[in-house]
Amino acid sequence: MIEPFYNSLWVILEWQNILAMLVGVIGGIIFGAIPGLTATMGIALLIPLTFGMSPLMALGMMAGIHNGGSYGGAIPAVLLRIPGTPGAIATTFDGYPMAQQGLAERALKIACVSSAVGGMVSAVSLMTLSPPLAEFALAFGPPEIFWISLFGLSSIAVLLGSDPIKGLMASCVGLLLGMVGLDHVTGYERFTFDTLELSGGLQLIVIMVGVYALPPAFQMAERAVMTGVKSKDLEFEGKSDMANWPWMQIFPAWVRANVIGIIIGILPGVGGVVGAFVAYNETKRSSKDPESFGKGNPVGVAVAECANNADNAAAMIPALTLGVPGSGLAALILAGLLIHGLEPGPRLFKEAPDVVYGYMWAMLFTSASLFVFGGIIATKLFANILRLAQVQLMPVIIALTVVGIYSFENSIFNVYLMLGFGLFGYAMERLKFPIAPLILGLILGPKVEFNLRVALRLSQDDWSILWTRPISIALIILTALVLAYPLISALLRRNRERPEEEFALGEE
Amino acid sequence: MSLATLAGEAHVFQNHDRVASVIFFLATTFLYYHAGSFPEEAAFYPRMVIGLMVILSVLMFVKSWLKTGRSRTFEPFFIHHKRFLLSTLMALAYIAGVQYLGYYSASLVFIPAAAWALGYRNRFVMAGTTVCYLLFIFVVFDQLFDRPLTQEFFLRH
Repeated sequence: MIEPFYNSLWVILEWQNILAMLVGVIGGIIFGAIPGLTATMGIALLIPLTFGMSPLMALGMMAGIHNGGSYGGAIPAVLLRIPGTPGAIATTFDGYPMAQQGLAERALKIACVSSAVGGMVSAVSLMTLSPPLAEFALAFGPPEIFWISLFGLSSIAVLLGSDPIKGLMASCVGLLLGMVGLDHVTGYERFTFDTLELSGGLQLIVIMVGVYALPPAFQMAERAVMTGVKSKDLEFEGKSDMANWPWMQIFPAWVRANVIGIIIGILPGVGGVVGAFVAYNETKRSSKDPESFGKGNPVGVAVAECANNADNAAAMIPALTLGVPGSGLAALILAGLLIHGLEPGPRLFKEAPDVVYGYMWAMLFTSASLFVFGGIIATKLFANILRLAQVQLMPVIIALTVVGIYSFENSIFNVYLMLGFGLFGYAMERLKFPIAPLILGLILGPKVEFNLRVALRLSQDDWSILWTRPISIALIILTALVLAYPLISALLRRNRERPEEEFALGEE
Repeated sequence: MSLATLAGEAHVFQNHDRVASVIFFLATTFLYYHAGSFPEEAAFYPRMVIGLMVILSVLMFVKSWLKTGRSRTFEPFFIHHKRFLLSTLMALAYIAGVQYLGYYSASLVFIPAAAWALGYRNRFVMAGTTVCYLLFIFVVFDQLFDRPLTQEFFLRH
């Protein structure tokens, strides 16, 4: 087990890979810092830039964007009470009050160091948990792969958004889009409507860039914000002295944040936002001074940012080992692997060990590099990104998506298709449909169909093969629980509210 | 945020949901019948997924009806429909420009023109952004990774 780690360490330390990781981190911080842009969008936009790179270089850059973006969200969260990314919502609770008290610099430094710690511990968990899980997953046959794919799909669909029906619908749209093109068994063209360009199927990257990168650009145009943040909002006070940090409270908070962040990160569909909230609440609950939370307690910033970043690499554990990502961002990285010709899953550990283990190192190194970018010069520099007028960014984003998609296959048809998916993604966003299940459906769709067909062929059309093997049964139960979760939680909520209502009525 | 405001927001989306569920129902019903023309083996899985989508669209419709009754609250779908239309048309024109004029020429016009059309007036920033962007694309796509872009109209024979 040690050997692939050792071998890939030397590969990841090649200067091209280091450069890609640093560019990724800086790009990620910039994307995370600008409200409206996210690390997810950053990866979607930058994947086309990685076509000419080696898979590891590309993954190194994506790892950088992933970790950089998670921290970048804290910059506007602290300075403006605007979370740059959804994961930074909990950072605003204490970060902004700290900034109001003249401690913005300290809050940002705590956020940065905590992000780095969370990311590094998460990367170590990826390194230690993935290989044995991949070994175990090698025992999976077609029925198990079918069910694990359905489990991942249902989890993301049900748990990610606020409406499970919309989540499931988005997954089905993804599955449907994955069917477009030649059926590999019969050779029959499905849903191409005699369009030659569609016979090869819809390219994942085209849909991904369309639905992730274009809707924010359209919304920037609609909001037409002409000015960036004023200089006085970005003034720092020079009080980041680490010796005066409340280390005795920060250390236990980090431990709690890492445990919660990693566990939540591994669960499909429950991302860093939930991790940060749960860890924040737990730390507040167990604190000797819970009233100070929400009023500028540095421990609040530390725990929120640490948990938010602890989710990053942990979400990649099911993605790399089972091909089922734990978050929307992990789904995008999975798509990045597919685009570079690598099939995620347990076999990847045998077929491309340098890439898989190298990626784990990249997650560790890019998290560690945040210590460097947490310096005051870098923080000031990144904070100045907020001065940019968003209306000027909109055409740049569109131009970047066009060049990326065109250069993928030199096809202008793909570019028009991307615009179409951009409009579709915009409608989905406005209607509160989650986007990640669509992408996951697109990634897992062919896998689900292939394994279902193979399983049925192996059993000579005996459907019982799907529910007679022990791992399959466990996965069916898990899937059923996930699907029933909204119903169960609604019933529990109703039962909890009823006594309160009766009490209120009694009082009237 | 008050409970009344939250309830109001829920109503808004339920109304849009009703429209979306009808569109989904019509589209998936059409696709279900379309998939019926495939050979049996190729049709089996698509019809399974589309069948589920038909059921989900019905559930979505019922849910929107049950939750809001006959609420007439209706928030505009777009944040600013004129600017949305403008940006969509500009994006379309830009892609056509990339196809017929070449990537660099089209981008040279599009980046400042789009910002200008949306009301931005700082010419120095617009020019700087355009030049920096084109330089970045030239270095990354042309010099570094050698990815071909659409040919410029003035370089064609």
